[in-house]
Amino acid sequence: MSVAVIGAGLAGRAAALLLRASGLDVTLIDAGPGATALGGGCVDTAAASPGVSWLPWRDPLQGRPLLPRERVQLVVAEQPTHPYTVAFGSDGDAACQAIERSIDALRSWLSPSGLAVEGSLDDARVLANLPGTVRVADYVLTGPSSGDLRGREEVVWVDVPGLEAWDPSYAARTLAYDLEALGLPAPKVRVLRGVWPERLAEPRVARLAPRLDRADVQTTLCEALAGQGSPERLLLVPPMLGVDHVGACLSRLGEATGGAVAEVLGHAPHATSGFRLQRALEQACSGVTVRRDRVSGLRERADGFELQFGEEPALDCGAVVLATGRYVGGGVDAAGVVREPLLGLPLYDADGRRVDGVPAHRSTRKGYANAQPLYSAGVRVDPAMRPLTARGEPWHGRLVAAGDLIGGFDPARERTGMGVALVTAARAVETVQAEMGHTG
Amino acid sequence: MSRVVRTRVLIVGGGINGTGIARDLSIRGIDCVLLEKKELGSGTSWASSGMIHGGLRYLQKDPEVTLHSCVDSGAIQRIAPHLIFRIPFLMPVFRDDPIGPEILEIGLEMYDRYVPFKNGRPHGRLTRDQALEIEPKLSPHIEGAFTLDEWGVDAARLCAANALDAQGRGAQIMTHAEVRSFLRDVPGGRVTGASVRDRVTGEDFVVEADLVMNAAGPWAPEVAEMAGEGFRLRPGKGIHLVFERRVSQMAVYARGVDGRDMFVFPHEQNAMAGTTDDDYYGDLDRIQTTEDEVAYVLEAMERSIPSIRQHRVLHAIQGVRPTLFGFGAYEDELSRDYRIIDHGAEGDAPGLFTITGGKLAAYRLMAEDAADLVARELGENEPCRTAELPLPGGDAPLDIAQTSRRFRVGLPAALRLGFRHGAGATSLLAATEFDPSPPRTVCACEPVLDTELRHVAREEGLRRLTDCPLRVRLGVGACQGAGCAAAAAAVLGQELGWEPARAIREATELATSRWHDVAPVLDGAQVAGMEVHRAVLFGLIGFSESLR
Repeated sequence: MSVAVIGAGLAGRAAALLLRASGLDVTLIDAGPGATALGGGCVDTAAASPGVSWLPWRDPLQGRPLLPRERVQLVVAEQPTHPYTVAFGSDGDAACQAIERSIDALRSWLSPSGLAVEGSLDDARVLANLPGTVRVADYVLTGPSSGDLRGREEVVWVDVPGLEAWDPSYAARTLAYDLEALGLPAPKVRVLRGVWPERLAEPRVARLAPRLDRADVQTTLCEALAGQGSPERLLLVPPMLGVDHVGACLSRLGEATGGAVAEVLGHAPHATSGFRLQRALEQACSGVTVRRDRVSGLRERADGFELQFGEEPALDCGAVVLATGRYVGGGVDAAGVVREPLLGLPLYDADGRRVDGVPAHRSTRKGYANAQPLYSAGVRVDPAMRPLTARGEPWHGRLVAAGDLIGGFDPARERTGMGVALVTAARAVETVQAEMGHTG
Repeated sequence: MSRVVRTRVLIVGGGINGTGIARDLSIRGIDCVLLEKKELGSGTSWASSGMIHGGLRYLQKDPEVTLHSCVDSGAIQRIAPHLIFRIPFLMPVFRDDPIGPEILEIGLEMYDRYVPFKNGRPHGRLTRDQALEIEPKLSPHIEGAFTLDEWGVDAARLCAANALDAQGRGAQIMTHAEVRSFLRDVPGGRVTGASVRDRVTGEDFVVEADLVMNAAGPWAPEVAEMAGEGFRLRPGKGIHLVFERRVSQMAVYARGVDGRDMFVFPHEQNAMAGTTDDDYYGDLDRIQTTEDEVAYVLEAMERSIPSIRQHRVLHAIQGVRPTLFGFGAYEDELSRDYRIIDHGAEGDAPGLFTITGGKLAAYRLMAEDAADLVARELGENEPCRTAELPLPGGDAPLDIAQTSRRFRVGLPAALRLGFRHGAGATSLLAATEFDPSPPRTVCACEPVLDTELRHVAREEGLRRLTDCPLRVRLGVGACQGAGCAAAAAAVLGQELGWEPARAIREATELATSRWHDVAPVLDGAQVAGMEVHRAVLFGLIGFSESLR
């Protein structure tokens, strides 16, 4: 009997790849890209942007910024509903090891696409965001990953005339300000104007990035920026150095400029990082059976499950991995009332309160930056990642969940979403292997 | 010693009444200062339906209001053609309507007599099939439909245009300036001005004036109270739902469960549905749309357009009408007429006047009345000229295609810029005509260009990022500021000399104010929309004040 993975974002694809590696027959159900494709270039597992999460920025005793590893420790110590805590209890070391194993796996999946995952839990990188604010990141993808601001003598924003949301002069000021506010040594920050090739004047990142996958266009840019870099100088460009060949583009630029070049971190529609990750994952899954369809119903059978696809033929399988995401992915539906559309699973927020069956707005609170129950809502799982019924029992022994569908944490505020996707996928796959009598 | 500003007339309130009076007085050469505690039009004007309609609804009980509205609507079309858009209405006829089509048509025929004043077409009659062909989303249960003709306007922009015109003629327009108390020549004597706090800088200053015009809308009783004067309004809360893009081609009438008329209508880049009318005695500075109101509006819309719930609601707009007091009548039956109170004659505060009630469509006429009275008090006899002189940008049509080519901006951007600034778009864009790079798009939904943001900061006295949704419609589209909050804060930061910390705070406050309008209507696709919004803004700008 095969295993069906419903959802083709980071969690679903990770689960599919792990299942295939263990020799199980997998079908990945792909209803289109979700939140993974909207990501901003970080593979967030533990390091919150300064100021965003409820976690402290600095160690209260020593005054130094907390390391990603210490943040994971804090999460499992203080947030009982977080999927890390559900999976590993208060054992922060186990959680960290699981994150590191997952990142290694991700590296192996992405490397054929030329996309590297750089970073570690022991050394957070300090990177620049598109508006010049500072972001602290544990794992970062090729593109922004070479943009660590620490130890730079000079940081130079490259002006791209007419590009939406690209405002280097104020961003440069903001960067200097933010580094100082965070107590980090500030390099000299300036703006490089008048060098960007006219041929590459595009108002939108989405139009510029695909052009930079072409070697001749890369050459134009290399010629324009030739000699502008130095070993002490970091050149910052918008997140548009190609979609499929960012690695090649970056290394050519590095050679031409004679220094370090990096993209800043941004978000869709002003960045392409999420698309790169999604496409690299799709390429990694080229050996996996993919069914491009949307599951309309899931029925329990004596020996497993039947997945229904509206009028299309159904699919029988022995186990199911639910990696359908939250609102963007469609794993949680919010039309009328909030609900999990496939099985009607109960949904809980980070405080353990149920939020399903009521209109979405009732799970909101005043103040944008406050914790919003609506956005920490998802299914509750046991340590084996089996979704639980309202009575706290697994819905089915061979039904597991992975990724954002699992509630109890707020990916936007806590910035552990990618880590949760990877770690829960790995744990869910272990459960399926054990249930199917398979040991990878 | 705090700064003293000397003027002849102090106007309190920067909504359509206050700005309309400021313009009228300035044209007559009477010096005035206008104080607005938030942004121009941010109270009732912004929360209105944005229509200068004649008021078919008022024909039965307030034919005066209908006449004034129609006549003045025609005048507004003359002086601000760029801010106006035609909204054809469709009134579906159902078998179970309480008023049959024959009687309804008598009303419409009566209304037709007023319609020429506002350059409208007379009503029309559609068969069921014709109506469904024009509006395929209409309920199949309709029996036929009537059409009529109304006009929409950007109400916040209309306030700004009036204020700018006044400013160009010497008036001082101060936003984020709140009256703290009134000055009296002797205790309990004549009102001679006000002490004021600038809510952005924290500066306290004094405005001395010969007389004070209280045009604070629903806040008018609070303002009068500062001079010991009491009068009553029957404040009526109204909400609108704002949908992404279009729901229908025409405005479509809908009937509430209680029989009230409402409509869903195209409004600028979006569509709106509303409005409600309920007594409101809560905090005027913290008006929130409630679940009941949303359910009530959607239920009404569903009868005319059954698929309404499939449309994405972006946000709500809520406000309070300063309706004249009446006891015992239902909210809807209260008069939409207006009143000017002389607190010297009717109370114990000579020098203070209050204008209240009325309709957006008749604002110019109300302002004329108020300015006539002020002029008389001051011994001036210049006549009103607000119906003849165009508002800024209304003097000549703008060639959109030519503007787009000449200034290197996309057609949609040129179109929307022309809508907001009329002929003024040319001089606005000329500022960057010879720059090496073309204007940059900051808000892609509207769209808004960086050149326009710089212009409103430099020339229009815009002070805060949270003013931008009103002044240039930034951040009220599909993304609700996710794509533009940080970029717009940076542009304003450069123009207004903000420290980066201030720019980040402004972006945070824009997100917070959008959340205030979005959270009560969060449903369906917009829940995912705000999920992305949070990921983007939490990622791009920090939110912890303690860290910064």
